[in-house]
Amino acid sequence: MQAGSAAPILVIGCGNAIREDDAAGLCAVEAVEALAPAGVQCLVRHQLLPELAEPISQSRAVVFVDARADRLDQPVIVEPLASDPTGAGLGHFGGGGSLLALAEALYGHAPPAWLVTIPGASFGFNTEMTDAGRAGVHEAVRRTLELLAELAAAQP
Amino acid sequence: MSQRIVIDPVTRIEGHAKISIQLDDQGQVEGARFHVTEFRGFEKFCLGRPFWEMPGITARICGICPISHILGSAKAGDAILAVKVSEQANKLRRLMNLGQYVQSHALSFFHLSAPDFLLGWDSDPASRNVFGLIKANPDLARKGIRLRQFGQEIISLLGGSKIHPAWAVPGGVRGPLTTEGIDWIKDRLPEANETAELALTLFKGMMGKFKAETQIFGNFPSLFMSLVGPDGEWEHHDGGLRFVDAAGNILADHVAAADYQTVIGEAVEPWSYLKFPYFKLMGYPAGGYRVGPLARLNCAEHMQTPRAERELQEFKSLSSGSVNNTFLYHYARLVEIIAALDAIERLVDDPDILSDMVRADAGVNNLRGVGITEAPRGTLFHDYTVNRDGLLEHVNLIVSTGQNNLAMNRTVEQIAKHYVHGEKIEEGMLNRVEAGIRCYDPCLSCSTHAIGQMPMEVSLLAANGSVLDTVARG
Repeated sequence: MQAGSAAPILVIGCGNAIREDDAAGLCAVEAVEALAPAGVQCLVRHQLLPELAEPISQSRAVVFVDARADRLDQPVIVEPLASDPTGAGLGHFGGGGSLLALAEALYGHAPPAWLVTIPGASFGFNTEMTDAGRAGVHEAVRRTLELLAELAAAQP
Repeated sequence: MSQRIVIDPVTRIEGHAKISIQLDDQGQVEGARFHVTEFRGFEKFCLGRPFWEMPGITARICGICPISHILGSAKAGDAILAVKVSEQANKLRRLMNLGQYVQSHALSFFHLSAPDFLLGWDSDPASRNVFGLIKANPDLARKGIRLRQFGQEIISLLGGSKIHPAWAVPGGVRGPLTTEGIDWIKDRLPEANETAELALTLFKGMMGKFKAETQIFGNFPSLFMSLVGPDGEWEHHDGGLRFVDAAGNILADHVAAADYQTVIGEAVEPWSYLKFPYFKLMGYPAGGYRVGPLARLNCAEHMQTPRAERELQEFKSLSSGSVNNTFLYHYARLVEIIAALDAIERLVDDPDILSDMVRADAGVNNLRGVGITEAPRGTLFHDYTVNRDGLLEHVNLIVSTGQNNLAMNRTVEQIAKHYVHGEKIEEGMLNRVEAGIRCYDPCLSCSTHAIGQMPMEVSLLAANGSVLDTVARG
């Protein structure tokens, strides 16, 4: 079952607001929400939980935005995200790929998905992000808005 | 030559643990230990902080049951302020705890244990997970996710976020529920009730299939402890402590929070960072006791609603004394979901939960405060000593997993004795050892919620430390 053209594009920011640059996904999506075109629904979450499968299945596209602790030498990366039906990493919380598979298995639809990852420099106990993390958020907001504009333009 | 089997790590996210199984010269299981090898240190690094901060700080102990720490900490703060929180605030705190029961118990049953129940402990680990459950029973999986979401949403409606809401504070709570929140809960309650009853009926129907597990997964006499209400009723937030023995006799009753150390001692062992609480009158380790859903149902004499009361009495009819089978924690968890939903239904009809008179203001009036609450997985103690400025000088936390520590060791040993013979390590045996731990739904549960992909290495060691056999997966 496909979500209709009136279905929203879902943007999900994930992270921990008291672990320095781990908050990057949350901050980026809060900024995206203020600037996004019509038809975009934004959610920020501490963890990616199984109940997100339902709104994902009702979306025509989904964009996950998260910090990453590896590939720190690379800039913000925007890449397609594939469904992961292995069940790996789906217990108390899961990854975006697992949630796509869950949406397909439970509700019959997994929309096309992208993952925006922001390199983090430090993940210690602090509510302040590093300069590198903040720069990554700015870049991630710009790239996510570009992606959303493309998706909106491609609407049938 | 004696040998030792080590399961290490039994870990994923929240904790780090391992299981070692000691064999004797004949290759038979001699003993087993559940080691917790992670040190958190909250009791030390909180020293010097204002006690007002503790609900927010201790909530970070766990991403799964932060509500319990928030509530336990706020209650300890109430005692330091020497205030009695308003009825309205207490009802709101109770509502949040009930929401947590629903989400936590639903997660444990539907996501983490149901794949074992429906697919079998010997089924292919690659499919013994939530996706396997969806294939076997998609409707049940869908309903389970929505039941958990119902509990999570109650927490979010009250606290503003699902995971670490800084909402309960010393003296009360930050704000009431809204009429929109009440409407949402009332709208979703019928579905939640239907799902809970479906799960309970399903589990009761499968009990015959699990005769072996019921007898082998930690079936032993022990003490049980939980909070109970003034009339011995099921309680999850207020009341006093009760201990019962394996025969159902009450050994201590209505022990106030401030007096908990008159009945509970804490032992330590060099091979685990978990403490080993015990009932003082019986000493250590004979005074080991169990907490959590099974203990709460064993300690409670009755429930507060007819539906929950029927389920409690049916559960109690399984034994003439206490129900001693660890495997039946799963059953008790489902009965508690029913009780929680009934209590939620009553609370959302109570106008008090819309009141804004929910917080008492006061300064430091006691230099020590103890808060006790029943977390989904068992009784939780927060014990603070402060100076006159409210800065912490001593912190003692007793968590449910620690209180179940002795019982978890006995459970692992009982399962291992039944399923481990000689030097060959079978996948099904490993699953059952983990499933025995999973019955307790411990805070280390991320580690032991093996959904077929858990990184695990099991080594069979000779007395001299050489590896005789290794099984790895994940």
